[in-house]
Amino acid sequence: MYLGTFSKILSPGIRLGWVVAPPPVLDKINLGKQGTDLCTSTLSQLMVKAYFERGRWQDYVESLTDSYRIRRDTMLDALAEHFPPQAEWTRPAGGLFIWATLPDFIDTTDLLARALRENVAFVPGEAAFLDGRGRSSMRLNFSGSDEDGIREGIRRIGEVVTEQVQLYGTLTGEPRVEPAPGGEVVPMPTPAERERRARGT
Amino acid sequence: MKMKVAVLKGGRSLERQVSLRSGARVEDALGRLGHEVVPIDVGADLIARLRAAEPELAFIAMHGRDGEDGTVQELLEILGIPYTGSGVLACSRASDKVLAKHLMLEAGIPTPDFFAFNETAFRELGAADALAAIEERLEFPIVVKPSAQGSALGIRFARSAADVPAAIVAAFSYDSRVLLERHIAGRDLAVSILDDEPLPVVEAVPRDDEFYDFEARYEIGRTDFVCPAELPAGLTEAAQDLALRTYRLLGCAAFARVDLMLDEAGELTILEANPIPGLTETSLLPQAAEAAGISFDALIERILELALARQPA
Repeated sequence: MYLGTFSKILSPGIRLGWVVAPPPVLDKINLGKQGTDLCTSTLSQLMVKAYFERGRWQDYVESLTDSYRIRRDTMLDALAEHFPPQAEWTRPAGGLFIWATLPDFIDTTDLLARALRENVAFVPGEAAFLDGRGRSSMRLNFSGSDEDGIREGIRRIGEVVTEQVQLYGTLTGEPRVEPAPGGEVVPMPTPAERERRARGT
Repeated sequence: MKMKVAVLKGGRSLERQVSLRSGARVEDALGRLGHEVVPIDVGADLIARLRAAEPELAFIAMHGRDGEDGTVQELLEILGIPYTGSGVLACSRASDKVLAKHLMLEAGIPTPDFFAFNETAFRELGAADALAAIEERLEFPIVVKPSAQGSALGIRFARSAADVPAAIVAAFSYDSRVLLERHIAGRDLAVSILDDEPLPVVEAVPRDDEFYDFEARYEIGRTDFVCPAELPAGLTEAAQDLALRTYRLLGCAAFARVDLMLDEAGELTILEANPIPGLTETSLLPQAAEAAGISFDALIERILELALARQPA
């Protein structure tokens, strides 16, 4: 079976995708789809069909690829500049998102409340799991904002992340280090060190 | 008397969704009562919309930041529009948990032991060095909460010293001041006050009690509510009396909900007071009113009357 979406190669607002599957499976999928929303707009299906029959879609995808590549690279550069060294993130070869993971003492659902005060948002990683994982991760979208917006957004998120890393360092008894202008932060204690401090030995 | 009532809801608070539900339910009730309803999702155009609508009264159905902390009340004072519930001072006191707890201590109202710090204390005054002493004084488990957040957001349960730093970091996401509080194990009670009279006590009972789970009681479907709470003789009156004293101490008006704990020794302590508690289908104030024989519509009408009566002639 093969599933695809027009969201990324045409437009997310069209809310159309496709399935290639054996007919009996398609029958069941049809039934489920009709049970969910009766059916997708015939008009938009016909428009998408006509668009793809013209064969111009590949040029369009190539133009998208260029603009998304620039935005991805902008975000990757901004992350390197503004996120503390304890953070890590993916370097996606496609798609519209970067997945960043912070030290495990930061809960991104809470961090979002702090980031919203700076008028910037992300999707907390917890939303991508059913079992409570992803609590220290975040999904960052680079398709929806222009390059200046991406740089400014990552700068603000980086600032609140750095703030929490430093606060945690202070709380766990790290010697206080003034942040360098470049956003250098106190080193993270190793898990063993944290454990030791927690026990007060 | 039929009136034009603006229902203020939503806003930028993290409790926006609950507020929208409270507001929608209030709008329905006002409609049934024959009032003209002007729904306002509170944003930057609030003043302009109020000036254009010229309501006779504003029903504040907002929770948390802006609505419950005195900000919107202050704006309505400036515009000269009567509004429901407590005034600016009571809202400011109640939404600041640290201030409210200090007032309670001074007035001899029992509230769990606590210490509170702002970020500066940790960043610049070395408060972290005092953590061990605090932990010793409060004893584990310790509850860590942001001072200004009304709902359960940012509240963490620290079972040991290892949990404390991350809990403090989380709480600081919501406010620049955090509270470390002694945890009171026991029964979770709420007493709502309507017009200086306590309503029946509501008890929140977590559904799965195999392991005590602090977060569970705030999750829908994991908590049952019992109203009136089945309490040993004398305790209902004692809880209602304490709640009423807290309500008066903070200067609340018309209505509020006071949250308490009943510990294993049978002692009551006040956790906090909420000047604008939820008004949704599952909220505690409407449940308590219902148990006292006051329907939701009658509750809303009472709140309107109290708001008008409070206005200087």
